[in-house]
Parts: sequence; structure tokens; C-alpha cells
Amino acid sequence: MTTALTVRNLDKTFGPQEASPVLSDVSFGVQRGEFLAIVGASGCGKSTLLRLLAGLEQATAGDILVNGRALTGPGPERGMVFQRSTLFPWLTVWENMRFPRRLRRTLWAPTGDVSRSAQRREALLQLMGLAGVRDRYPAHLSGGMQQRVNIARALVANPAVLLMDEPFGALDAQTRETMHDLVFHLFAREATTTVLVTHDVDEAVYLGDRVMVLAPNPGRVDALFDMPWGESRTQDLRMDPEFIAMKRAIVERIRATTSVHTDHELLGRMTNP
Amino acid sequence: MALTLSRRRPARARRAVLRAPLPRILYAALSILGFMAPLAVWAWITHEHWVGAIFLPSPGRVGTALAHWMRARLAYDTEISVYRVTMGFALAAVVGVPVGLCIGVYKWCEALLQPINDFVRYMPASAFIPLVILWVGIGEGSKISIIFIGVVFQIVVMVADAARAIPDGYIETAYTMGATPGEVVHHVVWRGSWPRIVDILRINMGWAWTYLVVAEMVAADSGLGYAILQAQRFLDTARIFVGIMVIGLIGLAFDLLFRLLHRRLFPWYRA
Ligand SMILES: Nc1ncnc2c1ncn2[C@@H]1O[C@H](COP(=O)(O)OP(=O)(O)OP(=O)(O)O)[C@@H](O)[C@H]1O
Ligand SMILES: [Mg+2]
Repeated sequence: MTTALTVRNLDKTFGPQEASPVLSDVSFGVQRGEFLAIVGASGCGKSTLLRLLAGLEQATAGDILVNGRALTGPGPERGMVFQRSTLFPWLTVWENMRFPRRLRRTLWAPTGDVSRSAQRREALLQLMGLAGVRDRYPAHLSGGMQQRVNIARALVANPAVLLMDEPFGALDAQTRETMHDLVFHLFAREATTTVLVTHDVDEAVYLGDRVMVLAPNPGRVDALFDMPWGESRTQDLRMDPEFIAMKRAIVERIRATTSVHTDHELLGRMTNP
Repeated sequence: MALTLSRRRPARARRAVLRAPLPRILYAALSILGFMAPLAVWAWITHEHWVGAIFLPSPGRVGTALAHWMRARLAYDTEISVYRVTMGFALAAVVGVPVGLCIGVYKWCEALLQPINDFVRYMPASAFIPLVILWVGIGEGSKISIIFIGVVFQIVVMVADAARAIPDGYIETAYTMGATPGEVVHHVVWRGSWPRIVDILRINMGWAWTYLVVAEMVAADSGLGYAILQAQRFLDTARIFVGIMVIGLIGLAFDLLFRLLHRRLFPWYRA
């Protein structure tokens, strides 16, 4: 296996140098075709880490290598799906997926590539169950559909790495489980290298090949868990004692790294003054 | 308690009050009523002779004044005024939209142009008349210039705001799909703020008409604004009424045109 993504001694501080760092000495690697899920307490720097990988933020120190090459900024070889839908509202579903074709970069692409990417768009549309809404505007889609289009759009370019920041966070539990299976089968088939940030441990354990726990203040790698489920994931897995034990182990790590506890003395003073 | 309340008055009926669509016929009827009611009040007041005709001419007198003017040169006055307003407005749009976009997108452009634009924006356009005469002369250029000055700085501010209102998420998404900064401006900021820009142009077209009378104070011998000023000199109140109403009607026509354009061009907007 080869490494698709390497992160070495990454530091990130917003604002002046003396401000407290958001990320400190973060190092990890993602193998080609691997699905890495990142979990951690709120505010520990998960989104910041993902934005650094996307090239949308500049690291204060450290290196990020994509397929062995140092990262210089955002690029089409790293797709990104944001927590809130970023579909262009003035374009239909189909036009959104075709957006890269408007760019100069793809203007002189060989005709073979063009027809192949058109086929790919069409296939993604079918797979994601979006064929019926291809000519609709995003405002006319449900939240679940919108997020499916966001993922499909990010996959059109066949990126070396797909970055997703809580892509299912806004969806209800049922839709989310359906999306999990869809994403799992599609990504397994395509061997998409993926980094998923989520606050849902269940989701991380179900989808991830590995789960990385990030500790807060400053954000750093706390633990890495290997998921032993292989390719055989069905919804029944969620009830499996082994699955639940894994979830518990990860949740305990997250709790151990979080400093927020309910202050019962303070609470007492609030309720009876 | 809440249950009995909602049973007595269904939630649907209450929700219908806010933003609910109206049958077309009812909408049109209400629009006409909005015009007819003040007209009726006006007719009644003049019929009862509560105020002198010098202050408030009757609808009939205004109609006669309109007929007179139409036989004379109303068409010509209208034409020349429309020409001045559209020219001044179009020039302001051609200059103001790109400048506003630039301010909304590039910080260096904002630093360079926004403070000076805000400074000039608060200067009254009418106060520029002597300068405009000095610089441009008393031809058509001076009237067009006044209207231009009246709206261009507003267009700049409003377009800059529209460009800034494009969410960062759209811009970042375009970057992650391999867009260059220039392509982001073109395909995201420009395309995304188009509906608001057309709205901004519609509003500024209205303001351009309000500067017409000011513009035609500059050594004009034709135009609706000029005619109103002439009528004032002869205390021809009915003619003043006609002039104001004709301007209002043309303004309304332009407004409807822009709205139609908006609906045609941006089916996705506020859908
Ligand atoms: N642009 C910024 N400027 C200054 N501070 C920032 C900026 N972005 C994030 N931070 C800070 O960095 C820390 C981590 O933020 P981040 O959004 O990465 O957390 P997160 O782990 O994604 O949290 P959540 O789970 O709530 O989404 C926070 O303390 C936040 O205040
Ligand atoms: Mg976050």
C-alpha cells in the first residue's frame, strides 16, 4: 500500500504567534484507498485540520504531502464536502456537477477524457438516486438530496483524496444511515481515499477503516483505532457487541480528553438562589 | 389550553396572513383600488372647493392640461427626459457595477476606493451643478452628468455589498474544484450576485428619475423636469401635476420591466 496523504508535525495558530495554538504537532498518514474518520471534542480543531488538508488555511509549521508532493493550496485532486451545503444556487443539480467543465483547466481536455467524465457524472447521478432531480435548482431539494449532490459533485473529478467535514450532520437518523451505506459501497468500489470529520462516533466506527481521536487544547492526535470489520458492513453491525465495545472505547477516549464537566455546585446555586 | 386555542382557530388560517399568495384577480383589484382611492379623495376635495384651484386643481383640470400638453410637445419632452435618464443611468451602471464588484472582492480595491466613494456619496448631486456647467458646459452632457453623479456612488456601495454577500463556502468550493481567482470572480461572485445587481439597478433607475428635475434645472429648454419648472413660474399647478404623474408612470413602467427581467433571468432566486 502507498501513502496518499502524509501529515508531519503540523502546527496551526490563528492570529499572532503568542496566541494559543489550535493544532500542535499533528502527524499521521492515510493509505491509498483508506477511509480515515476523525472524531474529537467540539472545538478541538477537526475542521481546522481538514481545511489545512484542503489548502484553504496555511499551516504555521509542518508539512502536508499529497501523493508525495508538498501541498501549496487548494486543488482539484482534493475534493471537499462542507457541513453546510455549498451547491451554487444559480445552477441546477446537473450544472453544479458540471461546474469544473467551466474552468480553463478542463477546457483543453482530450475528448476521450471529456466523454469519460460525462459518463462518470451520469453514473454518479444514477447511483446517488438523483437522476430525477437533475434539472432542479438546489433550493427545491431536501437536505439529504442536497448533501448527496455535494458528495457527487466532489466525486466527479475523481479526486485522490476526498475530505468531508460532518457531511451528514444536518440529516435525520434514517437518512443518515441510508447515506452511510451508499457512501460505503460507492467508496469501497472506487477505493476513494477519504478523510471524514464527524462528531458521531457511531458513524466513524461504521464507515472508517481507522478512527483517529483528536484531543483538544491544543489539538493533537490522542489515539488511533483500527476497525476490524473489513468489507462486510451491514446495518446489523451496529448492534454487534464488538461494534458497541469499539464505540465505547472511543467515546471513553474522547471523554478523557475533554475538560468540560457539569459543575454540580454551580448548578445547585442556579436552581435555588 | 394551547390545544383548545388551536382548535378554535386553525393554525392554517393564521399562517395565511403572512406572505401567503393572493389570487391574481384579488391582487389586481387591490392594486387598482390603491390608485383609485386617493384619486377619489382628491376629486371629492376639489369638488367641495375646500382648497383653491391654484393649490389643488381638480382631476378634470389636470386632464385638460394633459390634453393641451399632448397636443403641444409632451412626446418630445418625454423622449428627451427618458434619453437623459437612461444615458446617465447606463453610464453610472457601466462604471459603478465593475468598481463595486472590485471593491467587494479585493481588499486592496476596497482600501483604495471605498473611503473616497463614501465621502463623495454624501455630497448632494444638486450642489455639483455649477461645477458641471463649468466643466461640461450646458449641453446634454451636463444633464446626463448630474444624473450620473446622483446614482453612480450608490451603485458602487450597493454592488460591493452584494459581492460581499456571496458566502465564503461557495468561493472555497470553487477553489477546491480547481478554479483560479479570476474564475472565482467570474463564475461565483459575478454569477451569484447577478440577481441582486439587477435589483440594485432597478432601485437606482428610480433614483435616476428623481434627479431629472435637478438635472433639467441646468439651462434646459426641454424635458419633463424643465416643463414642471416652467409651469411653476406661471403657477400652472395642473401642468405640474401632469409632469409629476408622467414621470411617475414612466418610472413605474421601468420598474415593471426590471421585475419582469428579474423573473425571467433568475428562476432559481428566492424559489
Ligand atoms: N478563522 C479562525 N480564527 C481564529 N480562531 C479560529 C478560526 N477558526 C477556528 N478557530 C478556533 O480554532 C479552534 C478549533 O476550531 P474548529 O472549528 O477546527 O473546531 P472543531 O473541532 O471543528 O469543532 P466542532 O466539532 O464544534 O465543529 C476553536 O477554538 C476556534 O475558536
Ligand atoms: Mg467543525
